[in-house]
Amino acid sequence: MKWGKLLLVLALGGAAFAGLRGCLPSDQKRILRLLTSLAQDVSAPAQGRTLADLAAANRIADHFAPGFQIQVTVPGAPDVAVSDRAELIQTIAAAKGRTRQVEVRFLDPQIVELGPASAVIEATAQARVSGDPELYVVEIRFTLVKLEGLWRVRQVENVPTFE
Amino acid sequence: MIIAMRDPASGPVASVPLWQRMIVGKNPKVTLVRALLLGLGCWLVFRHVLLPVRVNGISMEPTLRNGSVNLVNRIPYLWRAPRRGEIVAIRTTGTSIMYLKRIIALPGESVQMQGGRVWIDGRLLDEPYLGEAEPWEIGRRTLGPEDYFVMGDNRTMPKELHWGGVIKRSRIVGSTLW
Repeated sequence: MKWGKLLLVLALGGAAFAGLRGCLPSDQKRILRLLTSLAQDVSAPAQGRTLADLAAANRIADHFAPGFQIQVTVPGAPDVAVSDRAELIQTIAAAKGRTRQVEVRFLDPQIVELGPASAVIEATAQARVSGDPELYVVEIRFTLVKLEGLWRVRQVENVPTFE
Repeated sequence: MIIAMRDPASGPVASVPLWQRMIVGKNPKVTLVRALLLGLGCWLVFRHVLLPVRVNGISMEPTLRNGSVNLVNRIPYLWRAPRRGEIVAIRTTGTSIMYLKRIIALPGESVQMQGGRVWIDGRLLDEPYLGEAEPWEIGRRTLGPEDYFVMGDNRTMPKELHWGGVIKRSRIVGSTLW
């Protein structure tokens, strides 16, 4: 009976701990969720309606902190160099209007640095364009900052695989 | 159809339907243990020893065809260094996506490409796997103690679209089996 009570207490304690972790995720989990959300929003298909596509572009821009900078080079694809929210929204809206659907995934995220207010994550970005057999792959470094309790992307740049 | 099995020790006959025997064997517990061991073995081998990969891209053609399947063996490089001519898998931030390239030059060597041909320490490298090649030019560089120079076999494509160059030893995951 004593062992039974002990097991029950341990089980309840484990369940409570798991529940607490689910309700109060760590910074690491929040950052990974941010990257997943960013990839999903970028991959969302264009609606074909100006306001809806503009709203989608705004959702993507909301992942970024003020003063952000994106500088990414992908062989076989146009370079991306953006550092202004309005420019980012315009670029995304225009790209979704003329491009077929793009599926973006951030694979194997590795947390390089994690502090109370900043973090550096490296991940492998994989992009597929519908109708295009080519698979675009590039290693990306995200520098993030915590603003008012929320993680936002401050900088996006290439990580060279080959020197 | 029921197969009657006589237990010689105790005498009574245990009846096991044929369909059950064909699915789970004579002893389901033993079958379950074997299945678990097999699953564990497969997980260990294909997750940590022989990584299955599917080739995407043309940079290693004709040696590795686009869409073909291969296995990356992690074992050899546990006790020896990669060798020239071996096709290696190069990790990115993980192993979900890896580059498959051939080792052209080793640590400490100087490497240069002129007219599509490779020169190692001033000597022309014999590359029997190479077919026609565009006249790529790569300036001479000397590799560090942990550096390897890698390139794909398909040099008929524009150099700007071909990933290759110097990588660190730590990025090499293993070599392809075929």
